[in-house]
Amino acid sequence: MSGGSRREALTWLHRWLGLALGALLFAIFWMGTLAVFDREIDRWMMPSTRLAPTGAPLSADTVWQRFRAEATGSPLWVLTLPSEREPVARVQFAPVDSAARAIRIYGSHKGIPLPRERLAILLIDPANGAVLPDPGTRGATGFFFPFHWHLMLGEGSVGQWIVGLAGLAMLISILSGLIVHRDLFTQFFTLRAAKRGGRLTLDLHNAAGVLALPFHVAITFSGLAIFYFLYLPAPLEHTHQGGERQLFVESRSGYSRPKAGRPGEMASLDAMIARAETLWGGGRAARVSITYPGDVAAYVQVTRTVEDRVVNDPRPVYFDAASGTLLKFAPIRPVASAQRYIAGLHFTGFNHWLLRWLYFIFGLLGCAVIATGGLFWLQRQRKTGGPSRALAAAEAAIVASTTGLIGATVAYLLANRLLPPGGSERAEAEVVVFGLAWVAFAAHAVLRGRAAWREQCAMIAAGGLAAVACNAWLTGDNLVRTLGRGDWAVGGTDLVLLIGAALAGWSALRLGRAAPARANLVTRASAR
Amino acid sequence: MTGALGPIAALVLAFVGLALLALTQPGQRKAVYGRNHPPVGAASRQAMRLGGGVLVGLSVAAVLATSGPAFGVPLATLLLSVAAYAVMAALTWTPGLFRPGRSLQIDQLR
Repeated sequence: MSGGSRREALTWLHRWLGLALGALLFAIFWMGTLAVFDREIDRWMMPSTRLAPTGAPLSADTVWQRFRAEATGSPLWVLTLPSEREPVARVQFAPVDSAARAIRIYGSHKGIPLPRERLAILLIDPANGAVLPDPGTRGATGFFFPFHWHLMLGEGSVGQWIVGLAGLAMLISILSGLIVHRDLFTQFFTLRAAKRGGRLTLDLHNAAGVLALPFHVAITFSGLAIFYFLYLPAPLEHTHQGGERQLFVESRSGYSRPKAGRPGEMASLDAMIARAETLWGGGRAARVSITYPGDVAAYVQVTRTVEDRVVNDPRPVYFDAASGTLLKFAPIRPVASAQRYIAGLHFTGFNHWLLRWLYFIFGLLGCAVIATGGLFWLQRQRKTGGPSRALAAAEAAIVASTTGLIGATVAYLLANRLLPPGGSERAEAEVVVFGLAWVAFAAHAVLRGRAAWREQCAMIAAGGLAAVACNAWLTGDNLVRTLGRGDWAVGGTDLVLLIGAALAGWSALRLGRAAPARANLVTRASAR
Repeated sequence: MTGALGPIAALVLAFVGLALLALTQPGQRKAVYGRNHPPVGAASRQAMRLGGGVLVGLSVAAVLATSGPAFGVPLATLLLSVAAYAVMAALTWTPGLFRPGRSLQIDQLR
């Protein structure tokens, strides 16, 4: 194959991968970008959890005594201790009659692959151990984050495979895009802002893609590397009797033993935490899990926070629940450690604020690469092929998957402020509002054609402003108050909403100015 | 506050280093100095590329030294990208920033 035809083939691949999977990739990137600040958005969406940090550590024994009766007989009970980013404690336990073998907990930081949907979740005020009222929302950790990695289709589901395939397609698109870029080095710093139309869009696409290339490659590859055992299971079957489960036991210091079926005592959890912290030689406990609570064979896993490091290794320590005797503490294997570093780069469990903000901004740049790619294709098709039904349908799909998705996200936040108080049914209603809003934005895109870009930008701007206003009005937490008390989680979310609204409003105005100019050109051309 | 010094120094070093590399490109020089400006000589170009490369290297070293390798690798990489965007923005909207006096012409000094 000659150089020219190879470039043509790769251009075809780049274009069609982008067109076929652009909408899905944009959704994955957008939700992942929001998940960078998931705990902070949770504070915004759950006003009852906007608690000031307590000085004294929360006693795990006190919390366990509170739940002892309810949790005894359940296969798993988990206490997540409060942290800088999440000032509330979280208790999760599986229903008593659920199958113990279905619960897999390896102690990873954000609960993966702990099946959240199968666990009852209760929020605890660390100051007094009281159970907080149900926030009635999935928040960001329960919606944006799972949407990002399995499209809300469930852990281990087809959604996770779709996300994996999209990630692979993204890597192929990046590589093919680099090869088909005709002037990669000579136009490395080029942005022809004075140009209009396709030239400027292509420059923006190239700038957002090429200058942030290391981020795009690293974030996509690390996302795939997290679930290597799911995507490439065959080698594990050969190297580990028992496959994935045995791999975790061996390489990441997992531990399990069967339930005895006889009642047992519970030693002090606080003493186990203290012992684990001594073994770690620094770093505090993040989570305490009891498997088969109340059984004589029950065991406790204490995991370490990863907020002070990149490597996503919670260094689990296992104790016999009845006696408090140490059962297992072993460092993870070197190769597993390297994999956990790559996973840590993706999870952003660390409290490094500069890096967190850079991840957020570069995540948005990832969205920009995908959106400008679609936009460039549209502009080119309009120029070469003229208007057609297929082009109108493609434009509607691109509008719906970019500004439509952003609009639906704003609608989700607005619903969070405006729906009447409630429990889990309210949380589901918020998700329904998100879905309906997305459908409405898609319908609007079909009906309004090119004007949909401008109008949806205007709606996003109005929605963002309304969300900030509703937060101030309904919770009393306006920007002056939140920033005054140093609450950067809520204040920062408000600020980002305001900046987003300003950018969307500016885009709507610019598109509004461009539309009459375009119309004049068309009128002059048809008059000739 | 001292924790911010490494990233700030890295950003400045990377900006200057990448700007030097950008100014070795004919297209960027034309944007900065105008069409009639003489092309940069081979020795100047070599010196600017070397200086740019060294400054970029120093930028990475500054982050690694202050943040350690685990945080330093992603941080240095992203700061380089930020500096590259800053150079692109400056070349686009304030090209005058790169010609406070006269352009560097080592060949003409000889």
